[in-house]
Amino acid sequence: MSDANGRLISADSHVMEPVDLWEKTLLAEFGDDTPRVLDGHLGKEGKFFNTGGQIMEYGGSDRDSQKIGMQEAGWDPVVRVAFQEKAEVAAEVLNATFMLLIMRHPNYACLRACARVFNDWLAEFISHNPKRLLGIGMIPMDDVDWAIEELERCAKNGFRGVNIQLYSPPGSPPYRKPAYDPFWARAAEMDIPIQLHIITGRVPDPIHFHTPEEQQLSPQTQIAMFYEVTGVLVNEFIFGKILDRHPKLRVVCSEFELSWIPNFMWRLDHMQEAMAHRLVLPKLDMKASDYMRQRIWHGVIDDLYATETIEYLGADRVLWGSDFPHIRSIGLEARGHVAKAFEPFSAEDQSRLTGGNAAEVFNIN
Amino acid sequence: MTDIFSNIVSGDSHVMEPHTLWQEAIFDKWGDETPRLIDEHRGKKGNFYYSGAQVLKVGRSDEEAQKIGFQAAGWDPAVRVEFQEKAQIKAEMMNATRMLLIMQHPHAGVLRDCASVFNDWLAEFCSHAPERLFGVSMIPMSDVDWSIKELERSYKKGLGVANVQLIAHEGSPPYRDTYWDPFWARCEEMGVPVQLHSITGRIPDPLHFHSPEEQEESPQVLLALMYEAMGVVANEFIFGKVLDRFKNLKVILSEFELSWLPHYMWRLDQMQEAFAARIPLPKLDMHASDYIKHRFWHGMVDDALASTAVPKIGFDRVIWGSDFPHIRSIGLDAQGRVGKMFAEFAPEDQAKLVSGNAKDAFNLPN
Repeated sequence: MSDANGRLISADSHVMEPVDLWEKTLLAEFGDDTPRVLDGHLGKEGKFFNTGGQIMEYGGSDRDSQKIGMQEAGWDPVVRVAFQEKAEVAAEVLNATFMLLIMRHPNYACLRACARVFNDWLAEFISHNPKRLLGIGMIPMDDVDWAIEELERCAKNGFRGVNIQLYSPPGSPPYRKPAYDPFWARAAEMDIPIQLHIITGRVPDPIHFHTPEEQQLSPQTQIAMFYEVTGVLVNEFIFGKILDRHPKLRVVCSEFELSWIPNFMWRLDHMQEAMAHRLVLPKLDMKASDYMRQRIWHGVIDDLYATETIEYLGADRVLWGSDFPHIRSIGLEARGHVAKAFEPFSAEDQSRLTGGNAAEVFNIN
Repeated sequence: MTDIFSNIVSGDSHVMEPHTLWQEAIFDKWGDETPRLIDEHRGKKGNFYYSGAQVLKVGRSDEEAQKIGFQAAGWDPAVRVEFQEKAQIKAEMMNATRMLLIMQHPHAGVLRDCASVFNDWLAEFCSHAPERLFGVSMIPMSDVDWSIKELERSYKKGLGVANVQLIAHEGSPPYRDTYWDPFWARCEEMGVPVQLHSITGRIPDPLHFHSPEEQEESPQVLLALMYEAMGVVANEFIFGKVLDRFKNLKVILSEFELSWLPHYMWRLDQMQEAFAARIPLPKLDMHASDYIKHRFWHGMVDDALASTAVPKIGFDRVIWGSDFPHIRSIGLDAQGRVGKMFAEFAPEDQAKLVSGNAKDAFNLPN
């Protein structure tokens, strides 16, 4: 199973940044605020990584590549291409790992510097094989002028999209405010999709909870993280009218899966129609749920209810991604997985889901 | 189909408490903390209602009853029965309206008194037609001994279902804490189902937002309100093991609808299985999603995706309710609406959805 050009493209895979990437480049400037390896945490010995927003117990994030003896695929582009060849994956859209969590760093100057370091490193990584390795830049959003400059730099580096914080950082205006319009306008003008990826918002990742008190809150925190995108879509991109003001802007929701979407679409229409006389809401250019069908792309890995959700949503806006090498990832068995997952669909839809849609939204030739 | 729907029971309807109910009963004791009518808010003259946590816009909550000339059905049981006869509804589970929002009152003492006043009033209302009007008591959860006493007191007055705050009162232990075990145990022992109704948690109701700044947040606040049950169900009742410790406890989710549940069930199982190696979670007695299928009942009004959601949840666990007379409610057209919504299901499943499951969950007579 593959796209019209015979390619299987993962629209959401990950690099594993070297753990000393930021320490080597930024420690002198930012000292203890610099994301870096720690030798212990809360009295516990072991290797930890301080992202600025959370302390990660590292070593488990790339379990899938460890299992298949290809751990270096996270940071060595030669090994990554070897993995792709073995898995018969033609190309991968490459997202960050540590840098995703660093997006919650409270020191915004440090965060911007971290993003630049990451973007430089990723540019170097993908330059090894630009047809197979497709980069997604990381853009913190506290300073719009800076964000536009970095967006332009990402485009020059050949990146296929940019990942912004899921929510604008605390203390900054929400995304619906006109302050961000120059950024959306520039992204639309440059034809660079904006991506919203899980764990870049304000909910901490419960995988990295350490104390029993934190861990008792893991189930509700995990649920909140899975659903965190719903608030920003409804309040900022849809009813906040970003998508109306920027009709060419493309937005990709990454790693939130699919089967929450039908209920969400019904709730959107319900707000716009049944609740309209009781809620003061802006008039939209389209039916609220149509933004989900037409303006936003949706990443899926292995959603149990993918088939019926795609039937409801349409096959044009769904992007399969392997999540390799993360916890839920699909590695060498990618071809078998997609063949089974998308078996009920027509050949045309299969080709869209397994690469065609990714090629369209990320401008992959 | 006619036979089935001649027995229709609404698992979620509402009374409209008299505006002066709490003012008359407890103003002397609690003064300005008392929920009551006020005639000005933020410099604007008009009719407002102070619930303790929000200032409500008065006069629109029962729009559906107003439209059909049955507004008094909110507080006059004789008119309510007349409405039921005209709508061909055999019985309704009667939930609060203002008292739902009063459940967010920050003052635990005031809130407890408000609940007692409401429970007395509702018991009196339902006593007019005990075979048609089934009352749901309101039980704030800040003091477990008081909650048990109020549960018992309300039950003696005929209120056989207890609606608790969606999340334990601010500053109180969470529901998973053993502090609350005597309450769940007493509910179980008395056979009283516990109900979690929307807008009794911590998220304000955006229908009552006043300023443009608040109103700009309405879409995400409304959505958060619709999803607020997710956290407490996962963290307290399932992984917090309330349902494992109390195997006969019945829990009803009211007005959260259905179509979020299949995805949510998958996520619960994913936590229990795929994430188990990375997230330490307590071992459960059952598959996580099975709690949703076997231990909860799920209230729905008019979920557009009910036909795909119900089979995944199970036909035994879904309870239709009209929400009458609230904003989304189904009034005199109940027969037609449920007939259309459930048209594709088998007659025995339709019967469960429109009455059988409500009878099972709420212990109603046949």
